Amino acid sequence: MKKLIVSGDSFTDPRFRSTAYPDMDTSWPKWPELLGKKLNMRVINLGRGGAGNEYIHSTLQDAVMNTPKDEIGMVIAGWSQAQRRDYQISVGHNIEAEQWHGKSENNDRYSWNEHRVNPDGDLVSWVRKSLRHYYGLQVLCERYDIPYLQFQMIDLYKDYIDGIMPTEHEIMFEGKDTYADRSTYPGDKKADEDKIMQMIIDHQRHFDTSKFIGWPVTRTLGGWPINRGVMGWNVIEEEPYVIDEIDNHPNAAGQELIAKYIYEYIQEK
Amino acid sequence: MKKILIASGCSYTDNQFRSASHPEMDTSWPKWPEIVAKELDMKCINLGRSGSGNEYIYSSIHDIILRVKDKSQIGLVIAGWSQCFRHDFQIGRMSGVNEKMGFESDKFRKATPDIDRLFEFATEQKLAASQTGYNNGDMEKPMTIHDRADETFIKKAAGATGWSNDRVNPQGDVLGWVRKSLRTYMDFQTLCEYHNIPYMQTQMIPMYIDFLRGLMPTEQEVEMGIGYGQNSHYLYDGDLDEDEQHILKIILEYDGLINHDKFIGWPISRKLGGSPMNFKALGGMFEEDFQQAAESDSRRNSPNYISVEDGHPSKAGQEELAKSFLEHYEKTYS
Repeated sequence: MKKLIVSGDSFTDPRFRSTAYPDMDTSWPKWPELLGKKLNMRVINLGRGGAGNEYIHSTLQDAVMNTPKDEIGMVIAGWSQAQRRDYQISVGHNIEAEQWHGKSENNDRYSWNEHRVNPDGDLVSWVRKSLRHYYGLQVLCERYDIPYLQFQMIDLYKDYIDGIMPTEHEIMFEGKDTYADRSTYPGDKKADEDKIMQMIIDHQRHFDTSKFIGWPVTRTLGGWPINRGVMGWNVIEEEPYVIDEIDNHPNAAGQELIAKYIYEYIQEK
Repeated sequence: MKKILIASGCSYTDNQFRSASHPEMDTSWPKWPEIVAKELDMKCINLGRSGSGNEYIYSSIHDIILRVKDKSQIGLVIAGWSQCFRHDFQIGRMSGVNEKMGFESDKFRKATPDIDRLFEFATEQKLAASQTGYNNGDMEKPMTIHDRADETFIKKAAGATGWSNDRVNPQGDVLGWVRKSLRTYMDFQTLCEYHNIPYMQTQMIPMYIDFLRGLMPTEQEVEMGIGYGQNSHYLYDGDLDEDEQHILKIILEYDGLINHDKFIGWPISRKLGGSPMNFKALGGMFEEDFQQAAESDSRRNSPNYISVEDGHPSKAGQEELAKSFLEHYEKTYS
């Protein structure tokens, strides 16, 4: 059985837990596992809540480089927000690793940490860095002739430029308001968004857009992230595919919908 | 039409390098990328930048490669990797001169619908270097006026892309930084192989050992009287021996992935039989000599280095580095 290697953020994380509802059973199958079943592939799901694009690129590169290429059926990246910052320490947090796996020698997954907003640089440069990761994944897979797909799972930059919202945990347990407590974007929104648009347009010729679902990633240019493009733009009102209006992560139906969409896309292509 | 040589690296590669220890010194001698390009009859784009880490080096090369539409125009790409603990980041939202000159600027975009245009003028109007006042590293052959304008433009654009760096990454630890660097080396290798671009890479200066041993003050700090010598190290707060063993294991994980023929000095550490380029080409302060500061200083006082205070390559040192690259190129691509 070939391997389906996937990485992403909380939308992809097989161990996702709701920070708004810590007691909720969120063990429903996530889209990589559902997709793996449909494709008859063994799933290596590297998704991790809070992860940024450096984590996603790095974990996929590590997995691809260390797996015999003829064993890889497909690689999929569900990219995250540009403003997140990932970094790695030593060999992992043993306590966290043990909590999930018991005593485990391979706790690399827990060696990663992240900041919700990168303390260095600015949004324009974070988008540029993300685009380098996206191109890096394409080059890696094409270099080794590995089938691949990529997509923006959640918005690349919009949540940040519109003013980042409090986390679900902050809303539920610290009394913050989703909209009133949004942070303010620390730059010239219009000028920076124009730069980002231009950068994405400039990169278009480098990407195989048939392998990039939702390209050019942002609605302003006619693209979309999977969460909006597949689950709907008005998730808060409709809520059929997300946990609820506070926690917009996909519920069981949302995960199934994402898996179905990707599967049909693969079949079609 | 001449092909392009693209090089990036840290201060050892920077063709605008200035000595912090000897601010008045004329350091405009040709740097290794210019010497190598001249020998190979290629046009040089030197993206080297003092203080930079490996993310800058990869990103600067990546961004230029993407801008060259016809990749067959690229004759050679060389990465001279830096220390893994440096942290690079970019400010894309720029103002002033950077706004006008950077890759995102309207000016650059209009001038370079694709960068190929910049390399289609080799035989046009020539102007002697002495007349232009621009010596491009003291090359013998005068540049064309277009060469001058466009190379300067690219260099300025590369330099104006808002890169900054920290000497030590405020997040993570040395094992994570080593992994990140090795991934970056793989990304570079894959990028070049994918586009069928001739390439070489090398660890220009030691990747991690300076951090484990305790960082020395910078040349600027020494000039400011903070000190020089072993007593002024910033101490490493981990277990040096244990962590180095971890690092060596991590490097070996990449032994089957890195193309050895194209990586001069692989596997990087002398403890594994490799060597950073500066030690290999210039002679240097090897691990076993670390305790013998006097001997190390005498090595650094060789003609290949600027001085005991400044361990950057002198004119002779740059020529030695170029010689090593050329020998390796000859061996690999001829």
